[in-house]
This record gives sequence, C-alpha cells and structure tokens, in this order.
Amino acid sequence: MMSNLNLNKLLKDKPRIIKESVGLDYSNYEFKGIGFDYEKMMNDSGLTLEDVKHIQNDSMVGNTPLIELKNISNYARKFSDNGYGARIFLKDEASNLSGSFKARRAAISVHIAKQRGYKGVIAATSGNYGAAVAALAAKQGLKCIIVQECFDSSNIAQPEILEKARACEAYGAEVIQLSVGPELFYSFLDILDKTGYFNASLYSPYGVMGIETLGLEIAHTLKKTEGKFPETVICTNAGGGNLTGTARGLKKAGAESTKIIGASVNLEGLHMASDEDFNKKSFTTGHTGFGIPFAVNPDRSDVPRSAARPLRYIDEYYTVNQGSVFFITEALSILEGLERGPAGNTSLAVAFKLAQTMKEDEIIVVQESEYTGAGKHHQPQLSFAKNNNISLKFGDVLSEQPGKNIIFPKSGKSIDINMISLEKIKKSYLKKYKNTDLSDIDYAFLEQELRLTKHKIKGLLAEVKHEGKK
Amino acid sequence: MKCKGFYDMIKTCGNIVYEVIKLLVEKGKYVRIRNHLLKPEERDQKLPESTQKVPFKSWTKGYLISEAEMYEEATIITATNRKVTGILKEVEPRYKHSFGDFVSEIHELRKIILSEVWGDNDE
Repeated sequence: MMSNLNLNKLLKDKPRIIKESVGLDYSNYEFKGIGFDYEKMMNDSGLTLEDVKHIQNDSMVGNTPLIELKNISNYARKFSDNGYGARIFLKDEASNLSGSFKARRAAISVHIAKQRGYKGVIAATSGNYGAAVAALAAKQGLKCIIVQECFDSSNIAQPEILEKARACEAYGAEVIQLSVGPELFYSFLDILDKTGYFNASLYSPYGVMGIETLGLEIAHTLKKTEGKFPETVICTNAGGGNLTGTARGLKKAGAESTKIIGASVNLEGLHMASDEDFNKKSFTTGHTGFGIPFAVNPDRSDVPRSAARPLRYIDEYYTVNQGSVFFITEALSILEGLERGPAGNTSLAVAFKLAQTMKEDEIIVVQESEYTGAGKHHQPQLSFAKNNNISLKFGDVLSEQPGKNIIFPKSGKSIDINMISLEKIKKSYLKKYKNTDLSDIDYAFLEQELRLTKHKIKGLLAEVKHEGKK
Repeated sequence: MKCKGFYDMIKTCGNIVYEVIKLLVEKGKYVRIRNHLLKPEERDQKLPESTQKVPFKSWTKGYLISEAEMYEEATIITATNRKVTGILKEVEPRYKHSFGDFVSEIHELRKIILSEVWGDNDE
C-alpha cells in the first residue's frame, strides 16, 4: 500500500507529536499574553555549560583551532587606510566530528535522546546538521533518520544536498529525500509519530546551548593569547541558532562588549518554496531566505518556541553576494591553505570588508568554517549554476541578481556588502501584534526580544498600524 | 519441456521475453523507491505556482524484502528497519554528485588574488 500524508490529522496531532518527540512541555514557559520565559526554557535542561563542554569533548566536538588568517588580513589591509585593517581570525569548525559547528548542537540533542531512552533521533535538515546528528547518533548507537528537501520536480537535486545525504548515509543514517515544498514539516511529523524517535530540532534549547561553547572558546582563547576579548565576532546567519548560541557563550565568558554581527548571502527575489527557483540558488544555507524570515518570526520553526532568537543578540546585520563568497572561498584556499565549504565562508567575505574599517590592532573573529567535498565546493556549485543558465560575470557585486547571474569582484577591493536595517526587521516582527492589546508583561517580553525600549516599540507599532491603513 | 504445438511454443517464447522485459529485481537488493505523498490538488494552497502544480514526492533507500519489478510497487527495509512501500526506481543507486565541470572563472579568481597579494610572477 502506498503511504500518503494526511495533513489534517497531522496538524491536529502536532502538539502531541512535538511534546512526545522533544520531551519538553513548552506550555511550562508560556506567559499570559504573547510572551514566554526564554531563560527558564534555556536553563530547564539541567545541563550546565560545563556539562555541555564535557559531553562535546567526549565526542570529539569543540576545542577547534582559532587561526589568525594573516595573509587574508594583509590582503584586506591593502585596501584600508593607514592604521586600519583588523586582524581576521577563523574558528576552524570544520575540525569538528562530521565537519561543521553543527556537531556541537547535535552532541547535546543526541545525548539527551540517549539519556531519556529514545531508540533513535530524527532531524529535518538539508544542511550539515544532518551529518552531525548522524555521526553523533552512530557514536551513541542510536538509529537516525534525516529528512531533506532535495529534488525539484524534474528530479534534479542540489549537489550540495546530495553530498550531505551521502555523508548521513556514511554514518549509517536513513535519509528521506523530498521534493520542494514546506509540506516537509508534515512528512517530518509523520515520521516522528510513526517511529517515536527524538526530534533533534535545531531550535530546541539543546540545539542552541551546544553552540554556547563556541562563543566561550573564542573568548577564552583570545583572552589567553591576545590578552583581550575580540572587538567583533561575525556569524553566518540562517535559522539564527548559530548567532544566538555564540553570543550567549561570549556573554557567559564575560565578553559583554564584543560586537555581534550577522552575515547572510543575498538571495533576494528567489522564493524559498518555489520549485522553479530551487536549483537557481548557489547556496542552500546561510542565506537571506532563511536569515530574514527566522529573525522576523523565530517561532516558525519545528518547535513551539524557538531557542534561536537572533534579534536578542545581533548588533549589525549584513548581506553579501554569492560571487564575493566564492571569491573569498578561493582566497582562503589559495592564501591560507584552508580548503573549506563556501556557505560557511559567508561571514568571512563580510569580515574581509568590515576589517578594512576597523583599526589594525582590533580583532574580528569569523566563528565557523565547514568541510568541503564533492558537491559542496565552489567548483561543483558554479558548474551547477552554469548548467542552470546562471551567467558568471566579473563586475559590480552589488548588482548581482540571484537566480540570473553570479557576479565576482574584479579585485579584493571590490568585495562589497549591504547593511540590513535591524529596525526594519524589528518592525516586521511587530506586524503580527498590530491588532493585539499588549499588556505590561507583553511589552517587557518584547523589550527583551527586540532590545528596544517600550517607548520605541510603541512608536514602531504605531508606524506598522499607520502603514497598514495606507 | 514437451511442446504440444505452434501456439504453445509461441506462448513459451512470449513468457521468456516478458520475464526479460519486466526487469525483475531479486530480494535483498539495495534499491531506491519513490512515493507520491501529495497530489497537486492536495498541496498547500499558498504555494508558488511552480510548486503547487506538481506532486510532493519522497525517495528512500533500503533492501527489497521480496522480488520486485522495476517501476512497480515494492517494499523495502530501510537502515532504521522501517518497512516502506513505493515505486521501485533504481537498483544499487550510485552517488551522482561530483566536483563538477572545469570552471575557468575560478582560475581567473585565483590569478586576481595571487597577483594582488604576492605581485605578478612576471615582474
């Protein structure tokens, strides 16, 4: 008999399935009104940051090298004013088990699953997180299923996603590959329900607390070797967990004044649920198609309350074009001997530009790198783009049109970035409350969510209401 | 085999040809199957048109639990010991991704970067 999805039934069963599969009763954290107790949720696991460190270290996760990219820093300095051009450091997260920082998140989720007696773990991800969960599950002797959005309707897959499927299978996981569409979530619920496995969500407290060690390590290492915390840490931003966890870790280490910057590849104009647009992307993560909607509405994830809440921590947010990220990926390889996956280098491309505006004794840390290989490497991704009639050009990087062309800078000097207005994102966040009578508790929650005063929030809400009437 | 006549002979030959054409895959083979999870009309109504008009499909790999015909319904046991039924699409599927074709633009990037950092080799 063919198995089909019963959307109505799954939607009805969703609260039960999520509760059983994450093992968390999110209603414990809800306030009256719109908010919830974020810190209570984050601290309810019973795990301290020390425990997290031990769990990770036991699994060859964490304590990755923090490398000064001296040649790339010198390269940026060539385009800086005298006395400018910060030192760029890279946290080489590709050295983690399974090849990315995602192992930090997976280590904690899988540990919890094992501790609570689940027979297996499931994650919905087309990214490095799949390989991370699969590898950690393999170590714990747990079964693992990874659900991926992979093929368009012509059965053409993103090469990067095929490689991630291969890696998951190498670690013994079952991979369920799906065609394009948000109904992935229902497929995911269906499989959670049928197996009774643990939902290793990227957005559970476990999925985010695992990254706190990344921020902690950056702060501790630099304090020891350079005698100070970094001026800036830059995170590639997609679902928001990377930035949230890193920022929390930095703060826990005492690096309160370190500036937290988010960076995403600009994919404006490409619809994330579009079958037609699916294979026009040259990045499957780290892009604005995830970064902006997840910042505007963090609870759109696969758990009722996401632990990834980037607006609570982000100080500045930049986009960069695909061509510049490929440029810097080649530079990392040819200048530093580090061949790494392109998506993880998004924040490096932005750091290259920002370093030029910072003093030469200041430090900017690029907090991740990812493994590379067949499929997830700039050559197959550019070759795939050409096959999809995307033209490759050299010229003004900011005029790149995602899905139509990829524009490489003619010089390192021409790498350029765009600042995204955080106020605009915060305004979009508030849109859902434009017709809500907000209480003092609600405002207190929003003040923490958006890092704005009540007065400012009221002002933005008034603007939203006014614009809605136009 | 005792041949009673012309028609029996044709029938026997026909059966042999049929067996060849139907591409039987033996039990225990590692295969990929495909499922249609939703028909276009069953999909989310708010989707972009290109997604809305096509079915929502899934692919899974595993071992055939019994002999099956290519492009017909088959049941597999997956890596997590789940029994899944779908249309048999591929036997012993290979990984098709690679490092892609040569991309000359990457060599141009390399030249730009090296000359800007280390100077031109010809100098």
